[in-house]
Amino acid sequence: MSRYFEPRIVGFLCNWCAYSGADLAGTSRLQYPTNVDIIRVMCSGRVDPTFVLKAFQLGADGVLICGCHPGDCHYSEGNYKTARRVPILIKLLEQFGIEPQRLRLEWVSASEGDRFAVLVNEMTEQIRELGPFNRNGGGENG
Amino acid sequence: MAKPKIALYWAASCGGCDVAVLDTNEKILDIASIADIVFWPIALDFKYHHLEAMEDGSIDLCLFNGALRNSEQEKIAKLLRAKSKVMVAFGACACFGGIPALANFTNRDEIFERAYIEAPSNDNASGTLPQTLTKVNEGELELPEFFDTVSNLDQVVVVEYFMPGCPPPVDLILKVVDAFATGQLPPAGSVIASDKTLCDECDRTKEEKKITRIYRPHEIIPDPKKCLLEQGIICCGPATRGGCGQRCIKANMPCRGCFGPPLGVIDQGAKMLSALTSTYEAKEEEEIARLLTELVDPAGTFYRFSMAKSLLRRKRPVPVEVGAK
Amino acid sequence: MNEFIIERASQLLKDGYDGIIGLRKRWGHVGPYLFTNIDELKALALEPRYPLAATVRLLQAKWPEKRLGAVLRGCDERALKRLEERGIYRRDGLTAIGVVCSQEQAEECNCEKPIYTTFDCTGCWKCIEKCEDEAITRINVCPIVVPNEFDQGLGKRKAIYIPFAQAVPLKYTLDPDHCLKLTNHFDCKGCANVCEAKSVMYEDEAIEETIEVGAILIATGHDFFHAPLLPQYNYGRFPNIIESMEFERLCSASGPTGGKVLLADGRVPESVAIIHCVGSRDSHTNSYCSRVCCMHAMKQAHLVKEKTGAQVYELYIDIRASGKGYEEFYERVQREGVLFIRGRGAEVVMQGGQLMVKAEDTGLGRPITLSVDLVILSTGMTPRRDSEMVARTFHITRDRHGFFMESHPKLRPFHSNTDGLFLGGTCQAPRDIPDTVAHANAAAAEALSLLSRGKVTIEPLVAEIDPERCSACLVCIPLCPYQAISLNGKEANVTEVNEVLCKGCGACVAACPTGAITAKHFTDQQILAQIEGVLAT
Repeated sequence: MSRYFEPRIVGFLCNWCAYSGADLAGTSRLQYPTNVDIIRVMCSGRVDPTFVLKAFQLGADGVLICGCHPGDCHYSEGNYKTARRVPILIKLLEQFGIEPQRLRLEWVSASEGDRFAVLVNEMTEQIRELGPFNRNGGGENG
Repeated sequence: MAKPKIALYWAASCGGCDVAVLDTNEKILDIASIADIVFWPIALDFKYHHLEAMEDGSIDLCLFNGALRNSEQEKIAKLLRAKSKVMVAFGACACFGGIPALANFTNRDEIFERAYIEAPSNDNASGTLPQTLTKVNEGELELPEFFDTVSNLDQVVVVEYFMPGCPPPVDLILKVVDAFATGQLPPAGSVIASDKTLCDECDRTKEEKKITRIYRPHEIIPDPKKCLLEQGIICCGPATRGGCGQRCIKANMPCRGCFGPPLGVIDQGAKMLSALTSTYEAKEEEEIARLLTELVDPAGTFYRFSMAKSLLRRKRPVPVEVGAK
Repeated sequence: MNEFIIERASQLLKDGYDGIIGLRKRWGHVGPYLFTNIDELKALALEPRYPLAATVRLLQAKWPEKRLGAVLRGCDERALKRLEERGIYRRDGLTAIGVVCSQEQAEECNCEKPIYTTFDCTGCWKCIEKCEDEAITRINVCPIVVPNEFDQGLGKRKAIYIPFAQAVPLKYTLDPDHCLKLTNHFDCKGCANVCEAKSVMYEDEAIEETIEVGAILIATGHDFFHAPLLPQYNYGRFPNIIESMEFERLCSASGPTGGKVLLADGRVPESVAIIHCVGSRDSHTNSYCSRVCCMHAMKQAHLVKEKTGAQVYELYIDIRASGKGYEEFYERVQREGVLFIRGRGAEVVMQGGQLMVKAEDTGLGRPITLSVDLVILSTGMTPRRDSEMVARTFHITRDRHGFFMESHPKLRPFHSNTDGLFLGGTCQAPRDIPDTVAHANAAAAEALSLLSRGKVTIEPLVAEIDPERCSACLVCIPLCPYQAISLNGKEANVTEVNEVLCKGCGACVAACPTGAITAKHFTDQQILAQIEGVLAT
């Protein structure tokens, strides 16, 4: 078996900017990999760190959170909350032995379809380099 | 009529939970008068073979404290489960892993290396490490197997009640004993504590949750009347079950989460992280960088008592090469 | 004016002057009078004119030891000066209070007095300083002249002005950056002095008001591409290279030249080049097409032909003439003799005092150089310079060019993503007048429709707090940008969400450490189930 594997990345995209941006990538017929499974939330501020941990617990190779650019949040400040939560979460994940590149926070506006496509491409390749998450079912006794 | 039988056991434990039972002071005599304590390694001289000889289900109540981190503890947990009608996870360690579960940030090899080889007080030139089976002239010596991962009680056996706390407060212990004696135990699966968090019973005044700086408890002397979190001290009270009588808060020290996650919260650390970082005042990059330096040890701070029950449960083992055997 | 003079005269009398020579109205006409006490000064008249120089001379000669003052106009001062030159009179000892005559009086006398109503007055105040006789004490016009923004800087205006002839409201306004009084340079009241309605208010200040509305329509318009950003056209370096908006003002009857197409030195051009797509359809600046420039370039060519008969060249890439009658107009302009050359204007240089436009004629397949008198740059439409600030204030997304983003490019081009906020006109995309009218009208109709319904439909995506779980830790309250969460009144033991204010962002849900808050339709269970679903193999 070769080192080649298909990363499975869970994406949390905010409805107003990031999800519309991803939609635009679609309507513009831009090609990008299918490795990100998108879950729509109303605002990136909705993303509970519990979701991220759950994703990793279930074996996700990476988690991508996308929201509106700072200052442009549809709900005024939701993305600022995410901007505070994610760096600490990344630090926490590092203590859990999870590489910081596996959790990524990016700002994608509704008109940035091409940026979203580039981002997905980049992250997929990066996670591919890092390798699978390999939880082995949560580390049993032994 | 035979008196009901009670068993107590300590697994990976500090002994504090047993001391808490003794802390009932003279009431211990009342307990001894209404029930027979048939197994209590720290206090009474019963052996394992006594336990094995008992009939299944003959123990009415088992108070099991301590986390499970070796094969002996696992075995006795299963044995006690078979022999007991009601199993109580007594104390934070049995409920969610407690302090011993912080060892899930390391593994057996690292622990042995540190304890038996590296530690400066060692005199172990030959690098001897504990083995599960050692042949000596007289025969074979067995040691329990040391696990990589610490578990809490209900990850190994079915548990009827959970008594959180490090240790559970005396009044809660007496409440359980009383309920047991009068046959009025709550439905199985209950946590014997408040269904709300510590904030509900905390007396301090809460004004506005906007944190501008995080202080470690030794850095400032907090105002004893105001909410600790609002003063910048990380108090895990918002994400911890109440019912402990706010004993730490009254001593002007922040809650550390020993009563575990509130009802419905699947990961205590994640929720505390979310609450703390959401209310921290930071918008610019430098401010967020400051938050990162002030929060020195997120894992230890947020998962101090509930590591074994958290979503990730342990530090990710070194990844194995895909395809390597 | 009267009060001022009387006040000064009274002051002189108080200071011990023996008398003030002035004019007094009696029996229907004015005559000279020596005022010796303050009450008499009430009858002081300033007009009509009566020469006082002779009276002054006589009185001073009669009572050389008395201290006298006199209310004198400019011609009186000139007369006294001439008398002095002839040696008949000595001016010293007389304190004059200068009077400036009104316009009517000056015209009646055909006087050479300084009149401050000329447009050329620069307000240097040298006349006031120089005039030792202090005959110039009051001004009655705005002396400040600045370039006129509406005329694209080609014309001038005063520091009190009407922006343009069709402004609504048609009222004059003070320029706070240039008015002498508002900038605290000088206590000039030139405008107030002549205002018959006495309506000049220097103390007037902008008042901030908070108005609660149900709908907002953003119609903030556009700006134009800044020609100096393309240095190859040498805009600003050589004269007679102008932007299309400047040409519009030249053509306009209310503009700086009264509608005449003139070069900088006043000559009529004999050849004009119009360069299309300056700052549009350009990978270096703006990649989009500004939509309106082809048509207005043709209109300008037509006007040049009509007004001057000059030779007109239009350097274009493509001609976009897609509206009603637009193609027909294109053909007409060609018939009028305007030369359309397909090839982007590459460079404008000055050779031997003559403007030369270099381009490639793609039809002929070779480079050309046009020697012209005037170059008009058709600058593209851009978002307004302050559009970022406006977008932030109203939470409107901007597209990659900076125009305000519509909710859907085909089906909702005049809605923004925020309910109740509509977009009208060129702030959303370049468009011409008929299209702007249609677009903005549609946005207004939508806004009216929203208001007239009497009810607002809101999304059911709101947060809900379970009082059984909430411990009133108050983590959620400061997180809500709409202040939708509050303590439940007196008991203050749980928090609750105002469903009308809540917009369903979920920030409180993610932060609640007890899990007491649920986001309806985006619950934790639903999202966790989605995570499990996508990761199940």
